[in-house]
Amino acid sequence: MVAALGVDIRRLFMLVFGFGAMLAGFAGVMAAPILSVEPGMGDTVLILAFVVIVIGGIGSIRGAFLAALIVGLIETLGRSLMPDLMRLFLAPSPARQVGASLGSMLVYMAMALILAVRPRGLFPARAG
Amino acid sequence: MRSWLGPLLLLALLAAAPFIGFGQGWAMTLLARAMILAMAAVSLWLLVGGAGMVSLGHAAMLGIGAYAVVILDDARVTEGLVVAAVAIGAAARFALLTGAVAVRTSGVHFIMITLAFGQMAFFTASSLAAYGGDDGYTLYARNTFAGTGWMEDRVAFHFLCLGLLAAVYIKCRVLMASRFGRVLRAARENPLRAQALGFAPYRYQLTAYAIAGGIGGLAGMLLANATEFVAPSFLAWQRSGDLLFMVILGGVASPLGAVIGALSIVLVEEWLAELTTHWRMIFGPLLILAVLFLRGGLAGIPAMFRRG
Amino acid sequence: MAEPVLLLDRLGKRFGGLTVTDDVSLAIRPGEIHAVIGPNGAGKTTLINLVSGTLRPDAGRVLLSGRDVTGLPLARRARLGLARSFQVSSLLPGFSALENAALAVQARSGSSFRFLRPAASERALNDQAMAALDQAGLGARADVPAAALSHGERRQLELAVALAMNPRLLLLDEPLAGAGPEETERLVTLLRGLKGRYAILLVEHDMQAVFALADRISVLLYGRIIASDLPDAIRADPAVRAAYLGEDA
Repeated sequence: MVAALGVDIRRLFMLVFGFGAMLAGFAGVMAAPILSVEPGMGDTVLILAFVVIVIGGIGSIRGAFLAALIVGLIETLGRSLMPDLMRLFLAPSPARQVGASLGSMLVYMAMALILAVRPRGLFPARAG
Repeated sequence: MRSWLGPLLLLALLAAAPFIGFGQGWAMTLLARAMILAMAAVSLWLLVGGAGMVSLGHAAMLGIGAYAVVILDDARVTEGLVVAAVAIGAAARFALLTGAVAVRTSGVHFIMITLAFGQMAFFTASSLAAYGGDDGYTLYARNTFAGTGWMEDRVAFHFLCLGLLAAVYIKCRVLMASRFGRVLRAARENPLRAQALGFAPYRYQLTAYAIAGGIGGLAGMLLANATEFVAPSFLAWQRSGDLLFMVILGGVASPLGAVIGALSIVLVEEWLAELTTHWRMIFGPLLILAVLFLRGGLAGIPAMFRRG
Repeated sequence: MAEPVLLLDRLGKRFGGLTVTDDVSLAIRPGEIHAVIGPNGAGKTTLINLVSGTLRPDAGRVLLSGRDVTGLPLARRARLGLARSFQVSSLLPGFSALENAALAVQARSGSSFRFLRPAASERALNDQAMAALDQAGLGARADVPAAALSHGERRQLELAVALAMNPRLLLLDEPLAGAGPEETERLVTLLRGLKGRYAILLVEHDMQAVFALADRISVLLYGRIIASDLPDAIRADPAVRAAYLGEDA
């Protein structure tokens, strides 16, 4: 359809892909001084980025922005607070382990919940 | 009948392997791992190629099967038949529970929600302090089999894995040809048509998800026995990605593709790693080329030559 | 009088501010072909979707042989004997013609939670599927994949699949859409052969075919039924002529 309007789709996709990669590279520049730099450092970011997109609603930039904040908060607060929270119920050593795992799990629980209730994400892109 | 030619050839090859130069310990271990992962890949194929449901959480099924071995080992239950039954049952139940939510979605959402459940399983495994937590759990010995210790025997274990792989493969093909499989295929090709005929795809897809989960659990149980060590990394999402890649590289048109994909990835990886420490520099581009130029996957190569 | 196979009771549907189905009531008796005609945008497709269950009405009820099915989804209605053909052929492209029909037979004969026996070797399924294909004049093409059939043949297969369901009510959404003159003739002959044996709700653009086939005709305009009568009366109705046939007659 868009091709019929005279847009070279292959080139457009290539540009979009390249632009996305550029932004990701920029994020890497920002992250390098605060995180540890290693070959696998992208793994967790990759999967969390997917989570952000799905929670926010695919195709929605506003959604991605808001979801990124939400996911970041859940992730950070979960990791730092959960171990302390667990200490209320468990001995210190298991509390640390269970708490850390639970903290990391929170994001995925949130995603499963959101997908089950609102399959199109929290801030779906307007159709059409 | 011609569709059984390839599988029979592969079966013969794998059966002969220990006697034609692959009898050393490391080679047999490698082959066992390859066959077990092939089994898991076939079960994932049932979802991806059979039902059209791309799951990125299949490693969780393997992990549950593997942790069934660990938990029962810790409780001094080491009879393989019992352990296998528990592993299959637990993985199938997990698939049924998570699938009840996941199967309601489709496409990217299905991928992501299976990933979410997979990650939950992963973090649960790493919180199991009693079973080693992040560090994993080393088994004292392999499971017994009907009271005997012959799973410790390399050749016996090889043929156990081969036999189960063959059984799983046949089961998948029989399943897809049955009434049930026909409905699954219909729901994949055209869900609206399936509904207009009176089939609610959900029940069929959920059943398939549970079956695939059960097979994944069996593969996990074997994997734990093969390596005699289990760690949360068994459930990492990268593992799910590897399995998915095996299925796609092999070719989604048939379960044979999943077997070929799994065997070739495990074996080529090992072979390249022996040649050079920078094997990933070769392996990565190789995979990209395969995806770009082999539309039918590795299993589709003979057909490509026939067409010329 | 026999109980109607399909009864629509004051059906209403709105999309946003737009009323697409407005107080539609309609009854189809056993063996009757009831045609719904109307200009583009009159709400014919919405009506079909309301009857088949892909859409839920905002008001009113749908009754199938006296049973209220208003809240039931597509698959449940299909099991209660409602077969629908699609305007744009919606077959299983990778399945052969026979397998397309056999799946329809399978849907109404026994459980489909059978995991062992190859479905393709079930004589009972294949025989009935073959009968449906023959009835639709497609017997000779049984082994051809649906994707490889011609456009007209796909329309025939749509019909064969619907017949294989052994339905109480056939819901035909523009069965002649896109068919050439020759194919149209063949399909009309086919449909005429079904007359009296099935209750049929026919939505169709081809006026000649409609007047040749229908026992009753309802005219839909802006979501309302403005006339519902025998074909001859519809042809003579001044309101219908003005609103719709005017450009055609």
